[in-house]
Amino acid sequence: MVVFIRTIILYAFVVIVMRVMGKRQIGELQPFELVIAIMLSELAAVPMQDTGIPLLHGIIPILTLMLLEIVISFLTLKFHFLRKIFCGTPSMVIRHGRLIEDELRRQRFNLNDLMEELRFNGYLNISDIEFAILENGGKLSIIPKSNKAPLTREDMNIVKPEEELPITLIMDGKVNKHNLNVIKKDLEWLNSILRDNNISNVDEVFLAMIDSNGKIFIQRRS
Amino acid sequence: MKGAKILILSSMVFTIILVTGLLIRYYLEKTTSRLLTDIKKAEDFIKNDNWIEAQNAIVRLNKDWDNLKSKWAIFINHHEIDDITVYFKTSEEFIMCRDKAEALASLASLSHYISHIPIMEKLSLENIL
Repeated sequence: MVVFIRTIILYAFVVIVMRVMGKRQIGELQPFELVIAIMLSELAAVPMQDTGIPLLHGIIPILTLMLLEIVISFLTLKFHFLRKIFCGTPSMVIRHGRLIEDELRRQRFNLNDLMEELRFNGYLNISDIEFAILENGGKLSIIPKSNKAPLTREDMNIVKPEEELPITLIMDGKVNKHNLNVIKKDLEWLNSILRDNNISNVDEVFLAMIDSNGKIFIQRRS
Repeated sequence: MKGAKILILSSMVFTIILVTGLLIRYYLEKTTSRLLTDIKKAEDFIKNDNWIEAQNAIVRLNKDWDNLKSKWAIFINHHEIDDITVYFKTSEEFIMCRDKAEALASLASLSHYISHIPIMEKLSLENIL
C-alpha cells in the first residue's frame, strides 16, 4: 500500500516536472537535457520501491534537476557562448558532395552509420548531397544537390492558396462554440448543415469538421 | 519579461530548498543534542547504581523517541530510524534487568547511532565526496 501511494505521488511529481521543463524534454533532447531525463527516471524509481528512503530524498533531487534545466535553458537562450558549451554546435560532415573526414573523426561518426542515415533519408549516393549536418540532437540534416531535390509546386509554377487548419465543430456529440465563433457562424447554421445530412440531433455526430475551402466532413456515431 | 519571471521563481525555489536544508540541520542538531544529554544522564545513573532513576530516564527517553521518530522519518533514512529504535528497546530491557555492562554498552551504541545522524546531514567535504 505504501509503495502504491509513493508511486502515485512520485509519478504525479515527475509528470509535473516534465510539463514544467517544456515540450523539448519529450522530443529532441540537447545533451544536458538527455542527462537530466536519464537521471530523473532513476531518481524517481529508487524511492518508489525502497520505502526506507524518505520521499523527500527523491523529491529534492528531482526538483533541483528541474531548476537546473530551467536555468540552463534560460541562460543558453540568452548567451551564445553558454549555448555552445551546453548544447555544442552542429557539425558539417558532407560539403558539396564530399565527405569531411576530420569532422567525421572528431564526431566519432563512422561511415557505416553515415551511410545508414543517408539511406534512411532516401539518398544512396554521397555525390547527390550538397550538405549533411550532424545536429546537436544527434540527427543528420541532409540538403540534396539542387538537381536531386524533390520537385516543388514553385518549380512547376503552380500557384495554390495557403492551406488553413481544419476546424472541429462537433466532437463526440459536443458542439465547440468557440470554433463556431472563430468561423463567424452560429448554432442555427450548424443545425441546418446537420439537417441537410439527415441528422436530427448533435448527439448523433461523432466528428464534424470544416476545412479552409468550407468543405464539411461529418461522421456519425457507430 | 517571462524569462525573468522564470529565473526569479527558480531562484526562489532554490532558496526554499537551501533554507529548508538549513532548518532540517538545525532541528536535527537540537533534537540529537537533547537525546544525547538524556542518554548521558541515564549512563551516569547506571554508573552510580541508581537504577530507579536510570529506569525512569530510559522510559522518558523512549517516549521522547516515539514522538520524534515520525518527524525524523521525513528526512532520515528509515533504516537508520529502525536501528535507533532497536537500541532504545534493548537499552530499556538491560536497564530494567539491571545489567550494568550490557546497559552501558547498549547506551554507548545508541549515542553513536544518534550522534552520527546530524553528522551525516552536515554540509562537509567528507559527506559530499
